[in-house]
Amino acid sequence: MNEKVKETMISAICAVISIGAFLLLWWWGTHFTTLSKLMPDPVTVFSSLIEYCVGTVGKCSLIVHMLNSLRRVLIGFLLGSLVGISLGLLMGRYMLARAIFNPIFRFIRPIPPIAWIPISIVWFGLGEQAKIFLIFLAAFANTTLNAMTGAMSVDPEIINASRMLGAKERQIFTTIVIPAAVPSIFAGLQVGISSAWASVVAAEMIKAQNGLGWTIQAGMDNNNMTQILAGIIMIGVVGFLLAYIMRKAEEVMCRWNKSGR
Amino acid sequence: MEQERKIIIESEHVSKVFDTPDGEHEVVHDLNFSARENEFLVLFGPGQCGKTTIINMIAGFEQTSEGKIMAEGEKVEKPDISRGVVFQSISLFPWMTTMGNVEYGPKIAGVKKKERRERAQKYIDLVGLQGFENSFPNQLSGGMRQRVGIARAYCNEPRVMLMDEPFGALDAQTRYLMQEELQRIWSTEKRTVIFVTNNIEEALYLADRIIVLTSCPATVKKEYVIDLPRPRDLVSEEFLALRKEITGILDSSQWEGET
Amino acid sequence: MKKKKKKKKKFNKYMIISCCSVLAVIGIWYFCINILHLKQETVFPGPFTVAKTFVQKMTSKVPDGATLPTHLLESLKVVLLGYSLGVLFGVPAGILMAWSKWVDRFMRPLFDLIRPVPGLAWIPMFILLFGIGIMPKAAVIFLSTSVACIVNSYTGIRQTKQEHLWVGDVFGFSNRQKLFRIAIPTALPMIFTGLRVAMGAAWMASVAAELLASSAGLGYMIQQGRYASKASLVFVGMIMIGLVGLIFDAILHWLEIKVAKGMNAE
Repeated sequence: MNEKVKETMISAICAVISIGAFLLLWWWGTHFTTLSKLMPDPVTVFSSLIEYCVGTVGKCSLIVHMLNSLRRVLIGFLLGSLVGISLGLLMGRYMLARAIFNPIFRFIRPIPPIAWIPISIVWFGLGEQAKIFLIFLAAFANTTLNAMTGAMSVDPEIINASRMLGAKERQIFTTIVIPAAVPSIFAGLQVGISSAWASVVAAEMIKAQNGLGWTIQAGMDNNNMTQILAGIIMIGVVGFLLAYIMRKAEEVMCRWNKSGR
Repeated sequence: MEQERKIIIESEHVSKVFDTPDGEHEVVHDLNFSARENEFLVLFGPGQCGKTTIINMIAGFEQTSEGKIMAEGEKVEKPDISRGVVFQSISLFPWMTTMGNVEYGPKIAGVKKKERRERAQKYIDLVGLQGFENSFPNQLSGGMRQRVGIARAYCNEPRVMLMDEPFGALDAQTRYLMQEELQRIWSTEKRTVIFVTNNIEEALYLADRIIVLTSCPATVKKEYVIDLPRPRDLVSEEFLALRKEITGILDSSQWEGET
Repeated sequence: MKKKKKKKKKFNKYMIISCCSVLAVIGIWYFCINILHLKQETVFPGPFTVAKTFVQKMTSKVPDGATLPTHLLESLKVVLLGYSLGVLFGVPAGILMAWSKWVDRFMRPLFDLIRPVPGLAWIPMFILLFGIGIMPKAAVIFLSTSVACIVNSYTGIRQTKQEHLWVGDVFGFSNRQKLFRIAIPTALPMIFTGLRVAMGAAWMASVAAELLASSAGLGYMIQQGRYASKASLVFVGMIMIGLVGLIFDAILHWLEIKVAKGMNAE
């Protein structure tokens, strides 16, 4: 126990030193080298970050931009993972579903969600639909594959166990295949949420009137590096929180899969 | 006496052939035996000789290549709740608690919550797991997990219990303890049991009747009716004599199998 | 024998269903666009228009000033540059971080700060820093590749079993020998996974960068296709992007089997 406390202490000290050194280097670079023409120093960035959150960037505050991005991600992600998981489970369990959907899916999957941006604008215009469609794709592509492998790799002996206890095919699917695939599905959701977050930022960078992606894009157009960096920090924080929440959800849902053994 | 009891499971000229990359591989050859009501029948055979395949065929997980298996007069084609299975790999549902696992059968059959809880509790108590109802399998030891496996199979109240080396994955101490437990459970909840093992002591300790199988392909080598009083004394003279005799049979049968 | 044949037949049956399903999709696509005219071809081109555009684009420079092969080469050039640099940096960095406690203690906090930011969010910053051209694209691809490589190499090395290292101790291995003979071979499958993930990320970052600010490449081509209301060109670009991604993944997968499996067999 003591060892552990010591290790945490050392790690914390090292973290402070290394991040401090990084900030110092940044500060030094922006004050004493040619970088000063291009980059604001860390103090400016952090103070403007707070300013942006309280005040406005473009038409609204940075917080509102973030909430806009978040709303898009959540709607698209929910729809995409729902469809993806259902399709993936069916494809994993039933050869027929796999034969029908897999070739089409295999064709769509390697196209990065971002490459859909131009066509989604052609199809859905510049409104919300185009962005939600993209996030839908990002979530869909990642969850389908994982749900499928999850459903395919259920221990056959466990399926036998449920059959001898009287489960019919539909019951095997709902009571055995689905819960057994949960860890694998969560692995897909984990990748999916990161991919969805990246996609929304990209979509907003290319065409939007608000959102975090718009913030950094507008920063580029106005040659405002401070705004870009503030936007990046916000994107990073939200990205981290989304991944963190997903990990916690996985821990709760897959308690039976971890520990012991 | 023995002949009067009703035949529950009957294997008639059963063979099983698997296709492997190296050609056909016969694991079971012309297997004939029967199990009677409330009998503890042990299929005893060496190493990897298709014993699991026999259990899988009786359970209905696998089809016979030739011959047929009859269960209470009906041909076995698919799994049925009248035949419970205890697996060597235990194969609990890892996302369910002990209670969840044990009540799974009744739940699937649509038994009301209160009733199935009571029934599950009865069997959890029977296998001595009271206090662990809400534990997940990964929180239990190997022996405890197999107790859940036994309770799960019992809770469906099958007519026949099929046990495929249920204690094979356990350490020697636990295994011995579980044999005693199974003996006790079987005495309270009489069922027809078909028990597969490669451990002669286990076979002699539990069996009413032992069918000795040959090595691959498996077929009946010899049959022994064990009428020693229960619980059995592992070092009594009769026990040791039988043990010696069956081990002798096994050695020569293996030797025969190799020529 | 009988059974084997049966299985093969079954397999073929599903193959046929798969082919039918692909044909059906193309058929429905054609039916909806070219016969029912549910959407105009400028919005949703029919399958034959896409095919025709694809063939034309091989030589035509309209509307974006370059042919499809030129755009493709342009994209590939940047991706491969950024990717190779990213791998050369990311894999050793990941290994080092996992192997040395002190490097880990100092590097991890910084890495954890950068990791949650999607690679393409850096694009505006790099464009302001380096101007429009190959540099910002390569930088973004480098960053995306490094992150994926570091994460996977790190986890890979961390999977080394303590017992295996003890075996190394028994043989009197030096620290370096333990790293190269035990830890890296253990991590190899994970490192390869990292290479594949990184390739996906790199390809995606490059497309994003080309969509945003570029004067060549597949991303630029589809963006121009949109401006010129040539949806069929956008389709061609997307299919090409998907195809290249697939080919990259196949090559890396093949390498993975060759190298990683060969290593384990030794």
